[in-house]
Amino acid sequence: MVAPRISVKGIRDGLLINPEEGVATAAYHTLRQAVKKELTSKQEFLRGSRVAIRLGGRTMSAAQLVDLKLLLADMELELWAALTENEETREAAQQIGLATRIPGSEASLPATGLVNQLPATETAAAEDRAVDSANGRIPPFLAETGNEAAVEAQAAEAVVAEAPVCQPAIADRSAGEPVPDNENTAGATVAAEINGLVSNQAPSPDIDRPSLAPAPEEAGLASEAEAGTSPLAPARHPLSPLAAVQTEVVPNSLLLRETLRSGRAIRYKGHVVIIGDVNPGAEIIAGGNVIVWGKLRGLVHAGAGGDAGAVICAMELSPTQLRIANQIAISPPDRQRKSTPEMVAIRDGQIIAEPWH
Amino acid sequence: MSAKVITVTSGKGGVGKTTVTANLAIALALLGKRVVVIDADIGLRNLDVILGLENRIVYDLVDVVEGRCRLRQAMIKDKRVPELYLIPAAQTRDKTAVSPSDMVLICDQLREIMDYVIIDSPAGIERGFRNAIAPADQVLIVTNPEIAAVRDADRIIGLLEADGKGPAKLIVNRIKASMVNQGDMLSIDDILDVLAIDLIGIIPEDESILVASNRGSPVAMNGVNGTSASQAFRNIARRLLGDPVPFVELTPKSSLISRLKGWLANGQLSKERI
Repeated sequence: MVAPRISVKGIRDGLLINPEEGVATAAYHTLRQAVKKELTSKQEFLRGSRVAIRLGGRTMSAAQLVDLKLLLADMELELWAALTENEETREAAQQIGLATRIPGSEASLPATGLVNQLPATETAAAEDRAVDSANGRIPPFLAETGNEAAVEAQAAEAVVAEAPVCQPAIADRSAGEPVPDNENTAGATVAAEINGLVSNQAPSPDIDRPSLAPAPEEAGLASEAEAGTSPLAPARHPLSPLAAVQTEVVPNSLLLRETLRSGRAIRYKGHVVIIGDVNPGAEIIAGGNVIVWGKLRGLVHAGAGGDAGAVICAMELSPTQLRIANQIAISPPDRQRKSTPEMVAIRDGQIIAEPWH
Repeated sequence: MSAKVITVTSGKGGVGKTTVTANLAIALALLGKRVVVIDADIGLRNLDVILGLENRIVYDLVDVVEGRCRLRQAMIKDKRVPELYLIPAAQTRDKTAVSPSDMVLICDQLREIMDYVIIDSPAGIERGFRNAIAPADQVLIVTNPEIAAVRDADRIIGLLEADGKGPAKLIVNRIKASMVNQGDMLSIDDILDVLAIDLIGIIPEDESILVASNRGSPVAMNGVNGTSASQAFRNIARRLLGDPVPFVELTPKSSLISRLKGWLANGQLSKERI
């Protein structure tokens, strides 16, 4: 029997893993072993790369994708995209925050129903370009629901953005009454559905594309597969993609002593402390809590792995948008700007700002 | 049903592409059209701020391109007008995150469900500009009555011709009749003389445009009750629909004496048109 093989080639966005004959149709564990064998032999050379994998028509569950991602993470590789022709696999990939296309590349062709009709002129040139990983991008945290009803409802409401999960935005507890609900109830329903689905699904929605937040059973599966090794490698580079977000035990904190300007994106599996301001257009996505010792005017997502107990603290709070776990809030338009420290947390299912003592 | 894809570009930065895009989209939506605006300025997004939709962004153009969400999920609905949607740019990426063919694919999907797709191009002639014009059926070039802006517009027109994109149309933004009359500012005729393309709109210099943009509620939101600037945007929208709106001649806001001076300087009594 011919030994199963995979090939690895460099593309614009890092590496593309291409299972070849024998592996392309084999069972998952065969694919896994082939990937592991091939990459282990080249680990020194490839370390730190972003990796896309071509999965062809193979059906893969979210659990298998998470497992694959953790396997790669152990080799210090970041799985960011799964190119697939299989609808089920695509949904699973989207659920765990993987890209399913490579923009502007012919490599994306099999991954999508959209057919690239133009000559992919920039592919070759683009492949030579380096990727700015430090200023890399955080993917959205809401998972695709895969539920047709919810999707319909979203379409009618035109998008999740339309349905902030926390309707009264940032209510001011010290002011007494919550801010009146200015969204319609359809939005709330959609939001509720998303919540329900999200909490029911194994991999929790995760903004942290490079990393994932496996639900406990996923993590368990992965660690079994790894024969006792920990699926959660400690962060070697604080700002680089991380192996996984685990919100129960947050091993590390990231302290940055600078002002985050527009376009900066910080993603970290633990707590994040900023000594400085967070300007509009900057994003912080953290698995744990976020503390801004300065003015918070940008976007912060705390508890991005699903930890609803996470909080966001800032010396002055006038954010573009706040997210905790799978809830979104925006400031009410009439909110008074206060220069007092405030803490934002989920209370009774709503994102609430309260004075920070 | 097939929407028209309109790209607003300029070459030079700061001439008002984003403002024109936002106002034109609102004006078209107020005329009962289904409109989606796409911010193609990845990494320096502004259209969401001008439209006052910044805080509602969850998914963006790059998420659509990379297959992380459905197209509909990235379309933020503006609740103030009947059918207006925004597809925002990503702020933490750069222009290379999207290719011209990606833009064509996205616009082809939007053509099915919209009447107008308006793309806000970034300044420059590089990748971002290429992305923005790739799907365009019609290109609108925004320029200001100043030499540098007209030069850049001329370069853009040349690039569009080389690309086989049909004839572009011109919008002259920030014109001040009083300065034109004194011969201190290029007149519409001076600009058309150089660029030799069809004019589709003239927008007077108006402080209310800046104020409205800062509030996230562009002047065109005021509809028929608006200022002359909002009237100018509505006229452009109607001309796009094929309505032959004449360029209304307005007497300049200047005094009689300055008008006489202008008359002496130019040999004719020029007027402000919108």
